[in-house]
Amino acid sequence: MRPAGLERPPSPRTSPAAGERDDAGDDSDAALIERSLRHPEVFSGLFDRHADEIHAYAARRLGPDEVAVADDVTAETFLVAFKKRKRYDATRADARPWLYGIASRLIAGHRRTEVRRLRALARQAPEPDDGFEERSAERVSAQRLRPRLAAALAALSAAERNLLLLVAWAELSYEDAAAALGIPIGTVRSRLSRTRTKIRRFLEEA
Amino acid sequence: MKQDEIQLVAEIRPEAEPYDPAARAEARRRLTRMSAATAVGGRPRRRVVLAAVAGVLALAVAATTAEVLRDDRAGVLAGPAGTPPRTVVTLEVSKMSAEEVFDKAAGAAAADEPQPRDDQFIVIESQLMNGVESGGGADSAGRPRPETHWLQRTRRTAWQSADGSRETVVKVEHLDPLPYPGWSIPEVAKEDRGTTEWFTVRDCGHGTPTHYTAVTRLPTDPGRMRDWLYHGDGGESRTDEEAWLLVGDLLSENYLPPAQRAALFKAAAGIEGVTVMENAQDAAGRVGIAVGRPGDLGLRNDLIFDPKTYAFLGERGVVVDAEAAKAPAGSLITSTAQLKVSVADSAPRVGGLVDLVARLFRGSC
Repeated sequence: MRPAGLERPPSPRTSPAAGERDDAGDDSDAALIERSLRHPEVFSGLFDRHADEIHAYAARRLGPDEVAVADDVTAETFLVAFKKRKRYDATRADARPWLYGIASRLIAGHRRTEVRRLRALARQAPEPDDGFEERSAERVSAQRLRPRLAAALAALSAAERNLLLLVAWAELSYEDAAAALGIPIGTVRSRLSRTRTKIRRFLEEA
Repeated sequence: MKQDEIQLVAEIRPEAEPYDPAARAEARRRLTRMSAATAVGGRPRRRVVLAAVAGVLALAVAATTAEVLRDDRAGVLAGPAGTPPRTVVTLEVSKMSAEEVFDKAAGAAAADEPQPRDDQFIVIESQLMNGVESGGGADSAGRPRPETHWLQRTRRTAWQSADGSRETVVKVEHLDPLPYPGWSIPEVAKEDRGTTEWFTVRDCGHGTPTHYTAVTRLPTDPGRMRDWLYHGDGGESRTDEEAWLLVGDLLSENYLPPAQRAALFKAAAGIEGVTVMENAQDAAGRVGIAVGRPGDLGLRNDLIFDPKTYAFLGERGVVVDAEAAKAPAGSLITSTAQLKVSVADSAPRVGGLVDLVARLFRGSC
């Protein structure tokens, strides 16, 4: 045990690479979290790195009318992360899956808000095809399906929606999604497969 | 091109509303405040929760403290119990030995010991002063952030579930900060004054025992208590420094029953390098006799006892090695005061998201 509050944080780096992050090196999230065990205040560096991304994810899921909830979810995500930092798996250099996992559980606590929002989207008329040539055929069809897809998302369980949106919207790999939600990779595959089937049926019924 | 349902969902990803800079700044401030409250007293491990104690003295002091607290001015603790200690300290060697002080502390009579039922809470009120550092390093864009230091002062109340079945609820009220030796108080430190924060803490049984049912299982025999201080339950070997800090951890924002307390004081008397100083102030400005030893990073870590009753008053950390501590010798860097220990039937309900978080992570040990 070493007394805290005395040691200075490392001097500001002046090299051109100061703003870049080397995931394997001392600037990794894992190293920052490790340092925060003895110097809790350095944990705010994790906020500086990832708050915008976590907020964007929460805001997408909760919708434009509930930005205040997204603000709360983001703030709470980092408070929870701070309290749980002692149990962080130091072999994971990138802390984003961990933060997404915490944020996902918090968002799941606002299930009704999210589902209400998805149902509102489902009631909207499909966007007219504006004929932009650079749009791929896939994109056009997805946009046309938007109301139906939103209804399908609303009908999923919270666990299915959490996983699907971590992969589809937060663009986490299957491995990272497994780490985020604390489930085996096999469960990720089987749950996603089941979720896809549900969505397909939903669309076919349309 | 193959198109699956996941890809379709990805295609309808909505635009994200922008993160309002004011909301972002507030979120960061909440995090900074919590981490600052954690950077306590120099014991990062479980020092998170600090300053209170258990003891005979706490109980004896409670009655007089209650009078003083009613003198609150503008909601900020004032009067003798709230007077900040002098932050420049002269160490005055006492004629007493550490053995004598600990012997008296072990024999100190308790007026009234809390005996909570399993479903009740032990409520511990304390005051704390600790060094906080902020800034330094670089932000995400690589710009240097200015480094600041100050002495944060807080008054804390902790509700500890007797049988450990519920989270500990902690209320933190910010008092006026003091300058860290050699630094001026930054504006951010002043913003906290008069604010109150609530949070919950779960004791997963890995650190210093805090719940009543856990502390009553600690040894009551001094020899076995010494073994526990140096080897814990798992045989891990601790240094004299670590064992000494553990003594403080057991007393700070924690309650030990009389038998365990007496065993702890007798065991502590056997730790190498302990000396006694007169006229030591706790975080509430009360003067007592200090038993301590120099530790890592140039700090002397003292336990302070009432000079008449030998009840435990609090702790302090004083710079003895300016070079190691990077602050002038004699600077008071950390300070705690135990004010009151009592029993309550319930803990305050922490509402909103804090409660939501507590429910989501219940049982997550």
